Amino acid sequence: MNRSRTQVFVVALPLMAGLILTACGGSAATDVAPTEPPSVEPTAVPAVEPTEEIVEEPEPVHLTIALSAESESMDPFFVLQSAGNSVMAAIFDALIDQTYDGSLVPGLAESWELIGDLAIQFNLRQGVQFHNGEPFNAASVEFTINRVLDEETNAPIRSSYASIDSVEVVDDYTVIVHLNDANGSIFDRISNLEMLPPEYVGGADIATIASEPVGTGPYVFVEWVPDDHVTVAKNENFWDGSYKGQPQFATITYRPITEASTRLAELVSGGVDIVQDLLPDQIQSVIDEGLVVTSMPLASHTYFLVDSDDPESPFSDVRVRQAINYAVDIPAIIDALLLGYGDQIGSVIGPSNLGYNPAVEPYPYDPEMALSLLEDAGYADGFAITLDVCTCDRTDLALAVAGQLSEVGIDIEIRELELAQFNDNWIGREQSRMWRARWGGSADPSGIEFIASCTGFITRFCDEEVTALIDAAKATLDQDVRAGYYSEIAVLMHDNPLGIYAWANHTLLGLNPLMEGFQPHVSSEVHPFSATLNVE
Amino acid sequence: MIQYIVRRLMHGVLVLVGVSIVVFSLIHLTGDPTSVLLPLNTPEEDVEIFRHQMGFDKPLVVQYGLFLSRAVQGDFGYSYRHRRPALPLVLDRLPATLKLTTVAFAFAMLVSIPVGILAALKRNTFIDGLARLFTLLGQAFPGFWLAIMLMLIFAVKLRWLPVSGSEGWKSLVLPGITVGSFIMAAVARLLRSSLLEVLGENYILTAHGKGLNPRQVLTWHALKNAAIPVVTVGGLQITFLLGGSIIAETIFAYPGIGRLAFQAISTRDIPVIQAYVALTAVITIGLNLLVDIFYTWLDPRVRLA
Repeated sequence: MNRSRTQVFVVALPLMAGLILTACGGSAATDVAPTEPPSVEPTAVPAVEPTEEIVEEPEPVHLTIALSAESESMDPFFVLQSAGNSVMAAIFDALIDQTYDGSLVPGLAESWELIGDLAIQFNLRQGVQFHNGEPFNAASVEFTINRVLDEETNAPIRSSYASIDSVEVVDDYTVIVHLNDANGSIFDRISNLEMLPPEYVGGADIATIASEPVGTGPYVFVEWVPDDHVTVAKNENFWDGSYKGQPQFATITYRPITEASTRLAELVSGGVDIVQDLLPDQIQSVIDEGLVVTSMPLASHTYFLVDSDDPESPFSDVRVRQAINYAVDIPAIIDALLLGYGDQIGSVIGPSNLGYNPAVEPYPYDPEMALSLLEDAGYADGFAITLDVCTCDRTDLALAVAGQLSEVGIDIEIRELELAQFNDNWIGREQSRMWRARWGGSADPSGIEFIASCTGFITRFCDEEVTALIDAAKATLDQDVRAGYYSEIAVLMHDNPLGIYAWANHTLLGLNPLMEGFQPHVSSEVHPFSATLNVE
Repeated sequence: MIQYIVRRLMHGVLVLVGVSIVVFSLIHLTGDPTSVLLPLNTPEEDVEIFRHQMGFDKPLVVQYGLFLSRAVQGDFGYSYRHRRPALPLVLDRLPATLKLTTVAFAFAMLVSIPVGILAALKRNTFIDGLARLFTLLGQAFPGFWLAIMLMLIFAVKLRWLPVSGSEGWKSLVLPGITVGSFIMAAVARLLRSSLLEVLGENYILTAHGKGLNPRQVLTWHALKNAAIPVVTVGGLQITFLLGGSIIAETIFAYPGIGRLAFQAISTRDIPVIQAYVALTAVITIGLNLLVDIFYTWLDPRVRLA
């Protein structure tokens, strides 16, 4: 062999040897043993046979829904987006349910009452079974809450339940949840905690729990082909008294279709019955084809946030922050670019939030006022900044706002970032002076503390009075008292804005015209439980 | 020959390790996956706990070492996002991508070979012009535009084919044509020019002189030689296709490997990215080797050095 070949061998051999030895060395103690993905066999969908009786069984109706994203997992603790949570809502229930407009109603708990400031007693519904036959009772609640709090589970949603200290089982159908601190939004949080069956989840490995869910909900899991579809079938034994009613469809198939034009094409060609997340410019096509559009305002708001806590920033002056609100014609943008599917907001507390204050009016479009405020603040000649936007949302909306700001002398350069980078900047306080963000999502506005409190995790805003009110609203479980605090916050933050108050986002869905009774849900998840499909 | 193959395979292993190091470093250069795995409003202590549980707080070299030692045993860890073993997740998508690649390639070959041959034989005629226009358009049309046009015409208006999904052979047609059209155009042009060159060679004249009929000359002598550059390009194209056709898969909601990889990259799902990269590297190395061996049959002048 010549010299160069020898050199290659000298380098390659030890490396190969090392690799081979490791490969044959057997698996070292690993935290999780690799398993084959479990093979999922679809359970038979009950076939309906025509009987001899006068009343014929209706033909089984199958519903198909196009979601805008794939579900992260079938383990509800790991599902964060509204697409995946739509599937979770069919398979699971929580102690408290959140109905279509965001109100909290009894779910797996028939009633609950406060015991002092730091404990809540839940009286559980009796006679409910999980899809695998396990009974739902206090043991399930204890197991579920302990699992979400356990660091080993490493659930992304764990921090939402940090206020819970422990669960006390009084008897089979009574539990007391003990809190570390009074957290006014605990009821909202509990409405997002899906109840799990202890024997099944306790005994299965991570991969099985993540792909074969068992819950108490109106539909039973059948199969999941990742990135293709999830199918669920009617739960014949679904409990009575849920806002979800009784299951109307023999099966529901959820199909993740990320491309908006493909979702629309499927609706038009009859391939799906419900489409999540239509774009406003698709609405006309949907109507032209004789299909139905439905929408509702969400608790999620769009803001153009600014770095008001930086003394060198023009936005540290409240007059500048008020000026940018006057400078932008939000209603015109909503009409032109969102085709009316948006509601202008005047503060951080919007129409879908607890404590909404109708007396707080959104800023009117008044560029003269904007210019005079900027002059007062010493920016008669304007200034130049960068605006960060995430590519996960429409850029044309940001362009419209930037265009209007330039007319009062504020020159904007738009920087588009991918979601991961955008979030990183936000968390690390490395964003540009202005960034467009969606925030909120729950009728309970406690989430504003992260962006509006002086001690908020990712806040760039500080107002002592507002912070005191945010803390007070968090510290009581009395919802009426909390509403009062949030109403006050609405007023204060209108006059002292944390950025441009743009609009409350709308959820837009397309429907098969044969569908009746469908209601959009304020979480922007698809809850088809009140609907029926008349196929004849 | 055997010695050659063994040497190529050994090089392949080195390439695999090198690729995994590069990919690992690049991913970590872009930042920490935590910011996309947790809700934005997670408090810092909880972020640290999460990072510790996932092993992100270990030094990068240690993380890579752990990854490599498990990877050689086939364990690429668990997907951060889906919480299922990463390698089976990737492998599960392979059949779907293989089907799409086969359909795309078959369509491409069925169209491009006759077109290329025709264009060469009828050189500088109207038919040649038409063929060249056809191939130019095939390369010029952007993939996503073609996909949406095909969908609108054949799925929405005519309802001959499904809009999206992966049920049955019908859902392979439109994505297959979308993906195949670019290759088809490239191969047709290449075949035409390669064939023209070969047809001008002396041995073709000799073959005619020997008394072989034009069909035999074409098939036995011309095509075999003209195929050489085409096989190179074709082989390369298949490797690209097997890495997934992200545009077609996204638009047609086809559950192939491209979409999985794209999602994994956007969400910094490192185990899945590594599994995907390893798989495509293995496929690429294997295919290149096969193509090189195939050459020796096509062209006896080529010796595997």
